[in-house]
Amino acid sequence: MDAAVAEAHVAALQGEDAHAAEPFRMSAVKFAMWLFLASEVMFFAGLLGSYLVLRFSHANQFSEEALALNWPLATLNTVVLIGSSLTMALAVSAAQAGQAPRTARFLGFTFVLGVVFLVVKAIEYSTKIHHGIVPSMSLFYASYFTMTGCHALHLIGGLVPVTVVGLRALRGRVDGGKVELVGLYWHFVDLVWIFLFPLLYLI
Amino acid sequence: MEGLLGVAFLLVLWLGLFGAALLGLIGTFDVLKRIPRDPVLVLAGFFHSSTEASVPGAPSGGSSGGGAPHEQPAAAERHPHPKYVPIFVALMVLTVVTVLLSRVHVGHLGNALIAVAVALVKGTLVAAFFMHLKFETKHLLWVLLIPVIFGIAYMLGIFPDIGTLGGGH
Repeated sequence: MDAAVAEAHVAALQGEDAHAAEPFRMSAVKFAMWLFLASEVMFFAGLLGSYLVLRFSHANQFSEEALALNWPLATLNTVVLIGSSLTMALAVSAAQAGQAPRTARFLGFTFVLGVVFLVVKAIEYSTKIHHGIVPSMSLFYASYFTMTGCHALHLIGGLVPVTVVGLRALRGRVDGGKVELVGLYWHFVDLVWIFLFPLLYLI
Repeated sequence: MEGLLGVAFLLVLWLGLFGAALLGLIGTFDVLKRIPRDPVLVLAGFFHSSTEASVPGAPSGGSSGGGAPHEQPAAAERHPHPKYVPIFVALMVLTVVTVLLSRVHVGHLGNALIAVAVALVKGTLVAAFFMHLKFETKHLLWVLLIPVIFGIAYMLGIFPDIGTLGGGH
């Protein structure tokens, strides 16, 4: 019986389905990054899910408070963060082509845009707190601060690897695989914001 | 009777969603092929003849055996880089669209659904092209989608209670 299984395996390897026999043909670290991101999907799904449930059980109160949020500032931040994703994607393609200076430049843009996002977020937070709006004020603001706060924490964390690979690229050392991993994480943080932005600020 | 129909509907829905996901994980169901490889080329296809548009979505799909002689022989080892700037522009347009649509009031649920729908389109663009998910092995997609399906399941589980609250509190 084992022989039959092995035979089938060999046949699969030799046949047209060689790709199917070894589906996860990627580096272990890249696969690990994807698994991490899958767990992150669950983390934010829990936050978003509980927010939506709370929201629809307190629909009128929530939308009143949501409309008081600064949506133009959040729209600006959306543009900034998607822009940073663009520069990150360009950095990854430069890194995979082995172009260190170009990689460093685009990682620099990404870093700056990430910082701009955080500065805008800080302005938003401080204005809120200045007006006495803190997480304990209401269910909506507790959700708002938790969700945007967790997202901002992810972004702050992401700045660290961007800085590290960026500085390496600046010294002429560029590893396409590593930059790609950083890019995956960065795009994920962008992706989370794409959902937070309309659900918190626009509805 | 109606309750039974509802249960049957949810069962079919669940089979479709989760069953398809498991099929995808074991590698027999490829939805990625339905996403065009390069949106710009597909858009160009609308303006030129249809023969050119069919080339980028051609069946090559990562298998090295049937690789077409033209363009990208080295693309098997490194992912092809799609044009990022048009994707960025599309994301910007969708951002404006979602802001504008939020000004049109169609009820709490309606506006929420519209917002989620646009966000899903944007998220798909980011994942498929910026994160190269489109060019990755299709199995990876299912590793990511299955948690999302469970997320939807637990939301659906809690929502009926909200219906009884009436949402006006």
